Amino acid sequence: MTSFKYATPQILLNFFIILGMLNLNVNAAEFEVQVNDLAGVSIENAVVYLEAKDKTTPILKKQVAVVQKNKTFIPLITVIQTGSSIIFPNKDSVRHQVYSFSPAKSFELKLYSGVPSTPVLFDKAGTVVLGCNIHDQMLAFVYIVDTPYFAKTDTSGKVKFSDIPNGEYLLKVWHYALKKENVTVDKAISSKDTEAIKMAIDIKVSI
Amino acid sequence: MKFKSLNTRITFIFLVLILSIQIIGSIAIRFSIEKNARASVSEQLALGEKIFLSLLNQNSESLTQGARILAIDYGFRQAIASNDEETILSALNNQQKRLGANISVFYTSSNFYPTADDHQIVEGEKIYEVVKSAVTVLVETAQESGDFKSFAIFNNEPYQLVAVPVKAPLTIGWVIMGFKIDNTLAKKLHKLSNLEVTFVSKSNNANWSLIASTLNSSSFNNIMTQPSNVLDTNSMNREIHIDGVSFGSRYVSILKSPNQVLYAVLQRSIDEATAPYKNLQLTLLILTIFGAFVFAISIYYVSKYITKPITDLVQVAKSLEKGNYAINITSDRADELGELSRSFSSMSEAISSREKSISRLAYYDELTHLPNRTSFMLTLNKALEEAKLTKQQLTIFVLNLNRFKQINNILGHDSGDEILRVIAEKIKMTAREQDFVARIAGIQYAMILPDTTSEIGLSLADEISRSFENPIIINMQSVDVSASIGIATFPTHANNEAQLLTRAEIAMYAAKANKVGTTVFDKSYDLNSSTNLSMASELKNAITDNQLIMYVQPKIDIATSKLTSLEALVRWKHPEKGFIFPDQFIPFAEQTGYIQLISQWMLNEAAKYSQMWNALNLHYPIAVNISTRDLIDQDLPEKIDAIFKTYHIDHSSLTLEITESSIMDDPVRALATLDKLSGMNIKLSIDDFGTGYSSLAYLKRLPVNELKIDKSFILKMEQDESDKKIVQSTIDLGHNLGLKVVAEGIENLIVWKLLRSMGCDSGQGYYMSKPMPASDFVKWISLWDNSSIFKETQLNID
Repeated sequence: MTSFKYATPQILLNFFIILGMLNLNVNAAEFEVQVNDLAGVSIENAVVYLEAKDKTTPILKKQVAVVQKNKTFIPLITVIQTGSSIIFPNKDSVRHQVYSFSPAKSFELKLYSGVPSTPVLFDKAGTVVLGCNIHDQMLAFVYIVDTPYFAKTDTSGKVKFSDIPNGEYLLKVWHYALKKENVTVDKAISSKDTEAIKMAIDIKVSI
Repeated sequence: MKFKSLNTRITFIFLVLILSIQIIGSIAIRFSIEKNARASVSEQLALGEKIFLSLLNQNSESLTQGARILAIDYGFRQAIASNDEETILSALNNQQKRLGANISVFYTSSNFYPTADDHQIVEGEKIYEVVKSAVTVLVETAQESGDFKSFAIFNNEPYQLVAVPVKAPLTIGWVIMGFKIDNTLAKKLHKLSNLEVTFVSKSNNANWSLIASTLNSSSFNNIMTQPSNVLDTNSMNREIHIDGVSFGSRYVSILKSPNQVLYAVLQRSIDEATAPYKNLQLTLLILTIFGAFVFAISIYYVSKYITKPITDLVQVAKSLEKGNYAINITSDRADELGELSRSFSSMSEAISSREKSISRLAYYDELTHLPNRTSFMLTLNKALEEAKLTKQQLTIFVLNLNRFKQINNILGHDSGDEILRVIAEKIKMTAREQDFVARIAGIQYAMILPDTTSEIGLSLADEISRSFENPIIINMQSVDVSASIGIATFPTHANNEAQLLTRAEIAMYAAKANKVGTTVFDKSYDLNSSTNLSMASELKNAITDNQLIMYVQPKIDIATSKLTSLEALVRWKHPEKGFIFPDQFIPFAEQTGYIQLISQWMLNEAAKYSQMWNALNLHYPIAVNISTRDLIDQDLPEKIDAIFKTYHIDHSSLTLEITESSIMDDPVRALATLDKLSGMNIKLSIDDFGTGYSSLAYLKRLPVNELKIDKSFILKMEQDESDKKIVQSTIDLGHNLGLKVVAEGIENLIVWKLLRSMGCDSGQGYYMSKPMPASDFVKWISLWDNSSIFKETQLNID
C-alpha cells in the first residue's frame, strides 16, 4: 500500500502536451494529436475537440445512431455537437430500456425493440452516461460538445483534424475513465503550429 | 495395622483390594469422561463458531440482497439523479424496514443520507460523524479491495454492515445496510448451536461492555474478568467458571480495529456436557457400593468359614494350656484345616496321656510303685501343716539298707531290684493305715507317721527291723538284709520338712555308724550344730592359714634296715588349742567334704618336699592318704597330674594310700579312679588291711602294689598266736598276689625280728621312728645310718 502511494505520483507526474502542426495552408489548418496515458501507452476512444477562442463556429446538427447489439451499446463513445440527436436502434432479440440520469440529458426509452420512432435530442453540452435498466452491464457514453471540430482517437491513440480554419484554439481531451472525472485536459494551440500535438492523460484502470 | 483376628484381616485385605480397584477404575472413568466432555465441548464450540460465522455471512448476504434491490431500483436511482433527498431517505427507510435491518445509509462522495432505528445516529452530531467515517471507510475499502462487509460500533452498539454500489450504470453512490448485533442474533445462534452466546465490545479504550447474552447479565462480569489477554488471540478456547459452573468458552473475534473490538463469546457448560455421564457414574457408584457391600459380607462369611476351625483350635489350645484335656475337637472337613483339627485332637490326647505318665514319674517310683522323694516332701509338708494346726507330734523314719551294694554286686541288679520291692512291701505291711511310705533314694525309704511320738515311732521301727530278720528268698537264695533307721520328730527335732528329713537322715547315719538298728535323732549327731559349725570354720581357716603341718614317718626295709619311703601324715597345729590329732578332725572332714581340701593340701605339700629333697639327692617316694570322697572324684587323676607338672617331679615320687572301706563305699567309681591312677604309674597301697569287709575277689581286681597290715594285728602279735598267724598269712597272701607287704606299728625289736623272719618287706613304727615334721626329715636321714637302731638291726641281720 505504502509503496503504491509513493509510486503513484511518479506515474502521474509530468503530464504534458505536445502539439504538432502538419500541412498548414493559408485558410485551413491540419492538426494531428497523439493521446497517451502517463505511462506512454496510446489511449483509444479519447475525445479530442477544439474550441475556437475568438470566432463563432458553425453549428452542425446531425443525427447519429447508438446501436444495441449483443446487449452492448455500439459505439461505446459517441461525440456529438450540441443540438444533435441520437437514435437507439435495438438489434437484439431482447428488449432494452435505455436510460440516462446524467444532468446533461436525462431520459428514458421505455422497453422497446427495433428502432424507436423518435430520436433523443441532446441540447446541452456535457457527459451523458447511457445504461439499460434491464441489462446492468450495458454502458455507453455520449459526449456533447459546443464545437464542430471533434474526433475520437483510434486504436493507436491518434486523431487528425483537417480543414480547420486558421486561428487560435483550445484543444481539449476527454476520456470516460479520466481520473478527474469530466475534467478535460486542455491545451491552447494555434493554426500556425505545425508540430504533432502530444497529449498525456491520467486515467483509471477501470470505471 | 494389628488385627485381632484372621477373619478381620482377610476381610480387610480383600475389601481394600476391591475398593482400590473400584476407585482406580472410577478415577479412570471420571478422567476419561472429563476428557471426552471437554473434547466434545471443544468440538461443539468450534462447530458453533462455524455456525456463527455462517450466520453472520447469511445476514450479510441478506443485507446485500436487500441493499442491491434498492440500489438497482430505477426510481431510487432517479431520486438520486434528481438529488431528491426526501425520496432517497424514505426509500432507504422503506427497504431497511423490509429487511428488518437497523441502519441504512446512502452515500456518495459528496452526500451522506443516514436513517436508523437508533435516532441518535441521525441526530447526535458526534455519533453521526462516527457513522459517517465508518461508512466512508467501508466504501473506500469496498472500492479498493472489493470487501463490502464490515462491523462497526455506533453508540456502543455493534452493527454488521454491508455496502452495495448504486450504478447508473456507473457507480453513483452506495447503499449501506446494517443489522444491529443484539439479543436477537444471540438467541438465533443459541437456537442453532445450543451454545451460550455473549457479545462483548470495547471502544476507545473504555471498559468492556456487554452487548447481548443468552446468559444472565451477572455472568458477563465473569466472562470479562478473565484475563484480558485472552482477547488478544483469536478464537481461543478457555474454561471459565461462572457461578460454580464450568464453561468451555471460545472467543470469536468479530471486529478488531485500533479503536473498536468486538467479540462473540461462545460457551458450553461442561457440567451439562458431562451430565449424561454423571448419571452413568452415579449408577456405577451405586453398583460399586452395593458390590463392595455384598463382597464384604460374602468375604466375611468365607473367611469366617475358613478361620472357624482355627478359632475353635485357639479356644481348645487355651483350655489345653489350663490343663483341661477334656475338650473334644471334631471336624468333618476334608481339607487342611480338618486335618489340622484332627492332628490337634490326637496331639491333645497324646499330651494328656504323656502328662499322666510324667506326673506318675514325677511322684512315683517306678520300681516299687511307692511315692518318690518329691511326693514324700509334698506330703510331709502337708502333714506338718496339719500337725502345726492340730498341735500334734509327727515322726518320720529314714530307712537305709546296709551292705546293699554288696548284695547288688553279688546277686546282680535284677535281684537287687526285687529285694527293694520286697522291702517296700515289708515296710508297707508294717506301716499303719495313716502312715505314708515312700522311697526317697536308691536304698533309702522314708515314712511319715502322723500324730506319733518318738517313743511310739521307735517301737514301730523295731517292728520293721524285726520284719527284716526273716531272710528274703530271691532266686532260691536266702538273703539277709538289714537296715539302719533314723527317727526324727516334729516339733522336738525340727520345724520344717527339710530339716526334719535331714535330722532323720543324720540319725540314720548315726545308727549305721554305731551299728545299731534304730536311732532317734540327738543334737550331738548334727554336724550343723554349733560345735560342729565352729569346727568347720576353724578347719577351713586351718587350710587357708597354713595351720596344717605335714609329718612324715619312714618306711624301713626290714631286710636291709634302709629307708624305702615315707608316709605323709597331717597334723593340725591350732593357734589356741595346740596340736589336734587327726582322729579328732579327719572323720568330721570326711563327712563334710573338707577332706578333699586336706588331701589336696597334703598332695601339694608332699610334692613340694619331694622336689626339695630331690634337689638334695634324696629320692624317697612319699605316700599320701586318699579318702573315699577323693576316690569318687573323677578328676582326681588330673589334679594329681597337675601337681606333678607344677613341681616337676616324677610320677614315682608320690604314692597313694587307700583304706579298704573307702573303696567299698562305691567300688565301681573307686575302681575306675584307681585304674586311671595306676595307668599313670602311680603306686597304690591298701591301708589298714584286714579291718574292712573287703573280699579277696576285690583285692585281686585292685591295681595296687602294696598291702599295709593294720597295726592292730602287729601290736599284739608277740603275745597273740592268732594275730601272728594272721600276719604271717597276710604276708604270704600279699606276696602270692605279687604285692609288697608293709607292717605298721612296730614298737620293739622282737616284733621287728618276728616280721623279718616272716619275710615282711618293710615296716613302720615308733621303734624305728615316730612321725616327724617333714622339715626335720633331712636331719633325720643324716642320722639314720648312724643310729643305734640301724646298727642294731643291721647287726641282727647278721
